[in-house]
Amino acid sequence: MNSATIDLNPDRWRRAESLFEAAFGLPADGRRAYLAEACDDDAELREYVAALLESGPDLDERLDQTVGEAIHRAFDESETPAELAGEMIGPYRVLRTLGSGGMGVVYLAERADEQFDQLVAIKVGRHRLVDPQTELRLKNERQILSDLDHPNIARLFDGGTTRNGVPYLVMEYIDGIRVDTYCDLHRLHVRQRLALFQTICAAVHHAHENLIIHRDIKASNILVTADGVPKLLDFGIAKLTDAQGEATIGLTQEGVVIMTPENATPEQVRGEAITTATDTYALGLLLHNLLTGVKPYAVEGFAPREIAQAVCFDPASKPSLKLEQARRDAAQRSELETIGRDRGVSLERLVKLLRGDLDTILLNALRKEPARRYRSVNALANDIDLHLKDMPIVARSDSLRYRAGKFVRRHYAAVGTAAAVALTLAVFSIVLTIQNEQIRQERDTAREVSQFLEDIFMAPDPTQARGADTTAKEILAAGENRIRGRLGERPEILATLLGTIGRVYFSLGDYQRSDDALTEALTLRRRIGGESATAVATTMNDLARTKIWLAEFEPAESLLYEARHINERAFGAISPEVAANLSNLAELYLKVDDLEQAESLAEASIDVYRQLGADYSIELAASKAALARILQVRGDLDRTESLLLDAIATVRQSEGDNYPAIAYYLQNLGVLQRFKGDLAAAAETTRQAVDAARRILGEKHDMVAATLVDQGTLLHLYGDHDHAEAAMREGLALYVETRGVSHPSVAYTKTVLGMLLHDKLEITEAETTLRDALGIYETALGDENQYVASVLTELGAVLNSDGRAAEALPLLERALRIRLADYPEDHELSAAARAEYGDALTRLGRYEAAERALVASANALEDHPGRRRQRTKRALARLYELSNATPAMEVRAD
Amino acid sequence: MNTAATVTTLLRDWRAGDPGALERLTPLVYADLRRIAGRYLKTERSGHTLQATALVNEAFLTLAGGGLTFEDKAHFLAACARIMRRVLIDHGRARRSEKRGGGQAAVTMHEDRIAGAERVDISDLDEALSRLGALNARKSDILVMRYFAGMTYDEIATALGISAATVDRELRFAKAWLAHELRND
Repeated sequence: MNSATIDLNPDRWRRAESLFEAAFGLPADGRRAYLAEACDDDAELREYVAALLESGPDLDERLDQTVGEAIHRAFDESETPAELAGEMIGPYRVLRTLGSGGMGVVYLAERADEQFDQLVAIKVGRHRLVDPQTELRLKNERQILSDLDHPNIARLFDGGTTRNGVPYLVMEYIDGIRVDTYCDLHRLHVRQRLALFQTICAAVHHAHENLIIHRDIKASNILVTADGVPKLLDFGIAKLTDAQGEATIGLTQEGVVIMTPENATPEQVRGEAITTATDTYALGLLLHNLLTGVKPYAVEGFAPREIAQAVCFDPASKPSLKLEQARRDAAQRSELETIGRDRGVSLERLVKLLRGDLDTILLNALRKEPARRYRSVNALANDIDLHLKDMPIVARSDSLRYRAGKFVRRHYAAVGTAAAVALTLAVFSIVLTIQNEQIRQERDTAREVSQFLEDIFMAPDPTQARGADTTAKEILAAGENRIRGRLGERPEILATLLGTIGRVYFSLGDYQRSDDALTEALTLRRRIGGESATAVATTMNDLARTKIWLAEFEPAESLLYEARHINERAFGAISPEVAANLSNLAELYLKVDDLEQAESLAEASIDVYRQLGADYSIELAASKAALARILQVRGDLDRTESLLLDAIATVRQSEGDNYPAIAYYLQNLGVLQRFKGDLAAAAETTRQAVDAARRILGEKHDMVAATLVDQGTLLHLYGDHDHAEAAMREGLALYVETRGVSHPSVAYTKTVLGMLLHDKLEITEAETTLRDALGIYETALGDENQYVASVLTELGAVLNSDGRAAEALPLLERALRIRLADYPEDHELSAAARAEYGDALTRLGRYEAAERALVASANALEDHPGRRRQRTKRALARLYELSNATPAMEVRAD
Repeated sequence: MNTAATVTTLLRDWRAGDPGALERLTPLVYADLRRIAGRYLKTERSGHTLQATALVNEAFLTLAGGGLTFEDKAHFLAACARIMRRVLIDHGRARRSEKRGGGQAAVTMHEDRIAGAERVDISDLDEALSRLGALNARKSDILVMRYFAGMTYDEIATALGISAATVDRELRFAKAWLAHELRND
């Protein structure tokens, strides 16, 4: 009898169960009687239940053991390959097992027909192919692989399926040792390791050119023969075995299962397309291991998922840094000493060798995003070649990170550390991870990153016109696109980042883009509403500031009043938010020439910052500087000076001598002191400004050029013409470098340089220089611009000095016409043009008209000491000399 | 995002009825189970279900960390049990086909080690469990949890949302049935 075959329909099953339960509760000797009674209609079932009950009290233990053993064996077998020695696979006789892995078992075999005296390696898959179509596809791909012929790639000879349908591949047998073991065994130096690695790269590149991707490059797949020749095994095999895996079990879909997790690439973990860049990454891992002996990520004792996490998200640190850190960890020291010894150097030396180029090369190969790695394996090999020849590598110059680094260094020499640069770029990669994190965290991250971005990109005093930096804009534009693409669904974070970008554009002087970003941020903020009312106010404040610079004063004004209203309700009148609104309103009224309003608002903002205390001393200083600008226009030069001195002292006290605003405030102060005629003070201040700009902002900063030109102008006033020229020319060269030859700043510098050359009596050079300036201004600013009038005036003066008054006259007429369109007759600038005009008339013998012009000019210039007044007085003297006349009227100028 | 969060999310999805979640969970758990299993095999040669218990518990600690609730843990172990079963069966199947097709098939290395009439192959176990599953899925599930993950009554009860007493009763019958099936196979 075999009761197991009993046909149990659901009804019978349920009945069996309840009979079993009831009987089980009875003493063993009472069970049969019970069953006989309870199940008298179904003898088969009765017997069956009785058999189940019979199993006895030790059932549990025995069953557990039986099942446990079955499971254990299954485990065991899943780890152990079948022993096939002596067996035939196709025409090959198996000699012994070479090894086994997740993808199958590898045997050493020989051709049984002894046609060739050749040993081969045969890889037999673990799983049977169930699908004839898959078999056909594998055959085709095998064909492609077997065409791959390269001295450093193990050939694929043949393949097929065993009688029971398991696929196998016949490959060239390489008698060698793993590349990493080989390098250590022979104590190869870094350069030797690099050379060996280049050979490997060449082989991989050859395969790529034949459209074959290796997919599983790792040390155990690269053997080095006794002759020192590296050979890559299993080229493209991963794809074949993957396909087999898919054909039988569904476990390989994630890829992670088959791969050794620590060798996985980010795209494999993410399930994205495998490309040649995947091999580049794997080569990067290999090189990392060959050079440092450690892995780029901590993998020991980590679960595959954690490793996958590290592979996808943890930024790889510089290999040299990693080694250096490990070196300081006493626990790892003995292990690390082996690493140095295997490379024939001390560990310290090894760290030094890696630092710089090799760090860069490795990090570039190990980028998370395939598109940002080396464009090809060849490019990687080339950089190693350049490094070996001590030439500059390519990875540095065209990487965004490097350019960003350059940008930051150029602008903030003091703060541009490598870590800072990495973080700057991290702003845009956070959007990758952001989607999986809690909203709250996202917000914090976005804020942190925004803050950082601002710290890096923003000058504390953006009112100083700064050259728009192309590199920075490139980075921003790229970031903006990514943010929009990824964060469309998260309006709050998008608004935060757009707000930041808007502020950064502002500080770079790109007001239109700033306006666009901030307007969008404001729209988003308003839509979110609710508790973000104060965020709305902040965005309004920023947008208003941008609009002031775009001369959109009316919308700016209403934005600022609305923001102040919100802020006063939320934070009270004495709050930094309100103070910022007041400060911007002051700036607005200064621009629309309502100086009284501007002054009282600036005072109000200073008052609020004062009450807020030491935390806001920087903002307080900025407000004082703003008030100073207003008072300078109002003509209160003494208070302007004391405010600027105050602002500088405040910033120095709270931030030290290296705060960027100091350079700007010093420059302002120097210009002011020059206007006041306090040339000694101006010279000292300007010298400090040049130093500060160089030290804080970097040698190549615009501000250095601006302060140098100021210095040159001062030296000119002092009569130190040679030093003046040197300073101006240095400033000019820097402007040309940073802003290009046709920037208005270049024209300005050429104008003051032309004036200097005129006074040095280098007339020809002066004329050329001024004509250059004129061309730039006319193109950049139009024919009717006041700067054009300035150059025309100076050019006319030069021509007068050169005895070409007839040429000078039309230029000076034009200058005067431009001046009078915007300035009154007795304005200093109008008077200057008129004075040169009068001089030209004198030289042309038109004394009456000349006298009217010169006398009016001299009177107007009475209150303006300096070069211009002296020129006018000389012109007047010339007039009277030439006309032999006495002054027709009393001229106040003595 | 950390591993525990991933595992938790996938477990909750699975519990909520998304069968794809188990598929996604499988590779996370499987590779680790394999790794741990390898170590156990080296140190302990006698087959015992305790091994599976220790194994999945270690996997739990490694993969899910300490932060999960008891309920989460129960579900995690239940998932492990299913995964283990599937993985081992697949391997066994592949090997058998190799053996049968290999001509003068080599004797399995362990065959000599196993004595007694009650030697059961993993595939026999699997087939029996499948038959049981067709008759009563819950009983089959309970056996899988018990054998492939060494889960306690409490854990099984939690994973299935039933009382421990029910687990005990179900298991008693299921074991009796299984012993009978295997004996008569």
